[in-house]
Formats: sequence, structure tokens, C-alpha cells
Amino acid sequence: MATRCQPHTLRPSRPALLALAGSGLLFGAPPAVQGQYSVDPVIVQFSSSDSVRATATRIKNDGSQPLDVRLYVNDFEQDELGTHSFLPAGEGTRSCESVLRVTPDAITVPAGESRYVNISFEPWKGADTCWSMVFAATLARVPTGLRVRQRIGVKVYGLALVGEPTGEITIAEIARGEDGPKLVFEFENPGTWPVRPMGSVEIRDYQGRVVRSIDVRPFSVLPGQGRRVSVPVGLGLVAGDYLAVPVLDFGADYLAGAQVTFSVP
Amino acid sequence: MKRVLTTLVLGSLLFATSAQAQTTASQTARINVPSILFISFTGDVDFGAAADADFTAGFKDVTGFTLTHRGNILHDVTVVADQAVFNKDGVAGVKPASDLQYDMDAAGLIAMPVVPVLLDDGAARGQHTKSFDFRVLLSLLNDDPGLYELPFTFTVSPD
Repeated sequence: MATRCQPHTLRPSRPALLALAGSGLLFGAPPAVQGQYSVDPVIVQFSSSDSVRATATRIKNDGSQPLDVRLYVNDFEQDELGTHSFLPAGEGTRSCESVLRVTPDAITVPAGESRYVNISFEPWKGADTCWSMVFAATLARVPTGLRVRQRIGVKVYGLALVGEPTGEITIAEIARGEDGPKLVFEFENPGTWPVRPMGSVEIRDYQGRVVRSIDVRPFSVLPGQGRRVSVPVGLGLVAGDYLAVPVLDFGADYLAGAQVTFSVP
Repeated sequence: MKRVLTTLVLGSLLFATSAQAQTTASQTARINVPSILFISFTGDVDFGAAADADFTAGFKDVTGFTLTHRGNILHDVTVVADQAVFNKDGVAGVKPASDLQYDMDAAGLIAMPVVPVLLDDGAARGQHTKSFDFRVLLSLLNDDPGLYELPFTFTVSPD
């Protein structure tokens, strides 16, 4: 690698430094920060209503320069592995684009301060849940070179008029890899509302003792879709036979669970 | 009279003390913890001016950039070129976005994609830092003189 933007790593001669500065490379200057900011909340749900509803989302500029932020709506999909794909507004399978509004669509946040933007929903009584994503994206200020944009997505759901959290673990099996056994399970959401299952995988010996509990962090499952989750279960276990028991709470009045046997050689 | 007053005062004090002992103040601490995500990219990805030696090598590098992301929920991080070709002097040219390459955490150079590519799939709660180096491929035959620009985007989104 030829050049480095951190000042202490290269000490070019004075003529070279001048030439580089003239061409836009700024050795000796601290690395520029394209923007450092946070957004909260990043998951918003609107229930069915006859009236307009709104929520405020905060953008906090942690940088030392004013931050220009553009706000716009995209659609998204999420596959069974959790990978997102982003689509222009209105092109998603269940887009909220027709009822979702974001104001303002551009804002300048002074250094160290916060500003709020309004995410609102027109009257909504959909038979199906809709979902879209509001992006808070920084605008490039660099006049030359490769402009790096950053954006943080806010998931927005419009819940179906009728629904409740539903879900089940449909498949659970042990996969063996180089780094030991993994519990792979599939969580299906057959309902009309999105859910965010969370819980743990208990590792039990054949005497029923829990020898380890592994957290399963909340993950989203869209209505009518599923997620495949992989959890390493063999780390640190002595040789023997075990049970892997995933137990997930997804907001219903019952839990989803499964049980799989596996051996550690 | 003085004894009576003293008795009354002592009685009042005892009563007050007794009353205070039976008083409790119940407080409930509350904090609303929203889902929150943060992103920061440090550095201007500016290759400066390409020199003859860079064309001879076939590339020019800049290194030492940092992407920081954090949150209190699982989140994904992607990168994508905003357009398929570099702009040349402000208008779309022919130099492909893939002529820009990135190397994240010294894992090897990868061509800048034109569809989002996951850099971190289901990043755990907490803070994560990734180092970035960049390379732009150069060709005497293909790269006409001019100012080339290619915007690209890092995205952080909740799982």
C-alpha cells in the first residue's frame, strides 16, 4: 500500500508534502470524519388506526462539524438468513410507501446536538402488515475523491388490523463444522404480524442438568416468512452426549421450543 | 409551667421522631431505552493525483480508514457503490465501480459491489471497529485524463 492518511505513518519531504497537499492529499492533518451519528429508535411499529399517528426519531450528531442528513423511504426484504435487500419505495412486496411520511426530508444537525424527525402514518387498516425502511443518510461534503455516504435504517411496520404474534420452530438439527457442532433451527412466522423471537439454547446432559445456556438475541421474522438461525453449541463441553434445547419468546402467550441430541467426541 | 412545657416539647419531639420513623418514600427509577444504532467512518478516501509510477504499478492505494458501528440490537452492515461507473469530470464515465477495491481488516481486496454486500451479518450488540484500505486500478489505455469520482455507501440497519 502506497500512501496512508494517518499522519504519523509517512514523513514525506517538504517539497513532496507541498505537492501532495496541492493535489488534495492532506498528510499531517488529522483524518477527516465523514460523520458520526446515531439514530433512535430504529424499529417503529404503527397499529391500525382511523387517524394519523406519528413518532419522533432522534438523530444525534456526535461529530465536531454540522451534519447534513437526508431522510427518505426505501422498501426492504429480509431472507431466511436475515440478509436485507433494499428496494426503491413502493417496490417491496408489502410496502408502506403509500401511507408513510417523513418530515423534514433533510435536516442539518449541529455538532454535538440532536434533532428530531417525524415519522407519521396515514390512517391505516390493512389486512396485511406493511413494512418499509426510513434511511437517515449523510450527505457527502468532500469536493473531490471518493465520496463515502453513511446511512442508518429505521424499520417501520404498519401492523395488520387483525393479528397476534405467532411462530414455531419447524426444524432443528445439528450441523457439524470445523469449529464444532452447531444447532441450526428454523423459526417460522405464519401470522400477519412481525415478531422478534429471543431466548436461549440450553445445553443439558442426559441427567437433565443444564450445563450451559447460550443467549439467542432478538431477530426479526416478517409475516409469512422464516429465519434460519445457527448457534454454536459444542464449545468447551467435555466429551459426552447432550441435548440442545432452544426456547424462544416471541411475544405470544406460549414459547417456541425444540430438542435435539448431539455428541461431543 | 416550665416542666409542663418541657414535657410537651419532648413529647412532641418523640411523636415527631416516631412519625418520621414510620414515613417511607417510594421512588421508581425509569428510563426508556430505545433501539439505537451508530455509524462513523473516518477519513477522506482521496487518492490525490495518479503518477506515472502508479500507472506502471497498475494501481494506487490509500490506507488507514476506520468504520465504527455500534448498537444495542443485532444489526447488519453493508457496502455498495452508489453507481455502476465512476463519474468523470462530473458526468457518468466508463470506468467501472469494480476498479475500486476495498480491504476490510486485512482480509484481502474485494471489488466494490454494485449491489449491497454484507460486511457484518447480525453484528452483536456493542461496538465494532473495522479497518479499511482502498485501491483504485489504473490503466494507461483506459483512463483518460480527468477527475474521477465514485460515491459509495455504508449502511447499518437493524436485524
